[in-house]
Amino acid sequence: MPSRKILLAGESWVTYKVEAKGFSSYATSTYGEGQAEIVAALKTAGHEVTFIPNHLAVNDFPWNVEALAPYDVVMLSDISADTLQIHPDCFDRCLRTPDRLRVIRDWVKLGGGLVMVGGYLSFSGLEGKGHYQATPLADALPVEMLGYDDRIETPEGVTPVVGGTHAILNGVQGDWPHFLGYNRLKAKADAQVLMSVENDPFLIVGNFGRGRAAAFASDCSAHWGSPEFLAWEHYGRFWGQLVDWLGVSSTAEKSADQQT
Amino acid sequence: MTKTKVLLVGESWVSAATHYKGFDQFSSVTFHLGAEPLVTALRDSPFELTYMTSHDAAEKFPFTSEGLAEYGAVILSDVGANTLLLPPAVWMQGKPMPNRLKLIRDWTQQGGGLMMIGGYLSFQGIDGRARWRRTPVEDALPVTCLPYDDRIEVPEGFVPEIVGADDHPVLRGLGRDWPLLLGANEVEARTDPAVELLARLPASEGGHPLLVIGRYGKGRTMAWMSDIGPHWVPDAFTKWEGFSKLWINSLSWLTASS
Repeated sequence: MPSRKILLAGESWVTYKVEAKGFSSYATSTYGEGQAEIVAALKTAGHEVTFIPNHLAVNDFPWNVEALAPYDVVMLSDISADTLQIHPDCFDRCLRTPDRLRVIRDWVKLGGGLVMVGGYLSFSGLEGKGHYQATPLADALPVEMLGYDDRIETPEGVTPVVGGTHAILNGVQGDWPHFLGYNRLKAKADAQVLMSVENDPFLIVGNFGRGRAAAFASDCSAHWGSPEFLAWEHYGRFWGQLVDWLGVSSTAEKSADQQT
Repeated sequence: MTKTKVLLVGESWVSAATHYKGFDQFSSVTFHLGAEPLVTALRDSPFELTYMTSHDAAEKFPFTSEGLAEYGAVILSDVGANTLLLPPAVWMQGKPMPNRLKLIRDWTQQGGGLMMIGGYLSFQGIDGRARWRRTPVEDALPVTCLPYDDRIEVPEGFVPEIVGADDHPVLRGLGRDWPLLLGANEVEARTDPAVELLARLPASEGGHPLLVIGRYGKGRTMAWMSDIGPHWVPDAFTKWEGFSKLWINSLSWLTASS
């Protein structure tokens, strides 16, 4: 399997918690990341991963197509459109800044690979705060988004089913583990739905220009990604093959791939 | 056999968390109970536990001595003095109400059993917010509180040092090898001859009192400076065979005079 260079952005949060005990209260702050399993799985599959957490993505996510050139696949997981679109230079100082969602879209069109992984701040997200539906990145994704809170919470667990064969799912055999929720999406007419959950698409892939894009409706980490999914024997194979397929950027590899 | 009634006050909290993910934030609210290990430990014991949560305590903790008469022991655990001093009638309406700290003190003096268990809102507590120092409840306790944040955080854990005799009614059957604890409130044991130090932190953690008993009037009092459950009391401690024995011994001793 060829090695892909992956840029993973998101999967982190700061929590400020007020604990109220009767009349009294006190506050605690913690920093958390959801990247451990996905990064370990991708590395084990032979890929290289650069991880940018949410608070650093504001400044450090690449600002132009050239800066994305070293990567084969951009993976956005639980990072809102606002984080990449509204830099303090723009918000606080009213300066014009590049729209990095347009940058990602243009880079995919030129041959990059893109996957959005579901979560509270993916697609339209919780209370619509993911906010991707009205951005240039919506062009590149193989799905249409609701625009409003698109979470389907399934505390009892739902199990997605595979709808056909595809290189991404090679050898990913048997029943999938359950998920505890997902973002409700609609596949675009020219996209391919590889998996579905209930009556919604779960794994959707498509082409955009010379690039490829995918949407995974649930999470690669807790809590929607159940412990059973995170520990699943095919977890690493699945993500490894997904980025492998997405990152086919050279013409030679692509034409060879298309003949299979 | 009728069970002895024990009133446990506190050990509950509402958490409002704000999650910041890059530009965005969202909130979640959860409710927690901290006394479940004690509830389990006393399930088949001679004690019947009434679990009064922190938010209920403000208005439901008795305002009269009659309200406490049915209980053999009162345990204050992770609830600050303000919760009992400032019920809504006082705080919102400025109406004079009975001082329940004096009520607890007087009830103890007349033969009640009073215990305080440590935590972030016990003794003086985190940021000094529990605020039991120089209160009527402190008068009844066998220990005194520091005036400031009194937490001793021991993330690597400490082994309690047992000071009392093996056959002491509170320590009977517990041995001397207790599992690790991860923290406690720092207090000072009173010098009163009726006060007995039964366990303490190791010298490396200051040697402060961990378990102290005393008398107040006709009543009995006790202070356990660590907690009931996580995080100061790890699962290994609550699953330890001595755990329920410790609480049953303690409550048996505490209620012996009532």
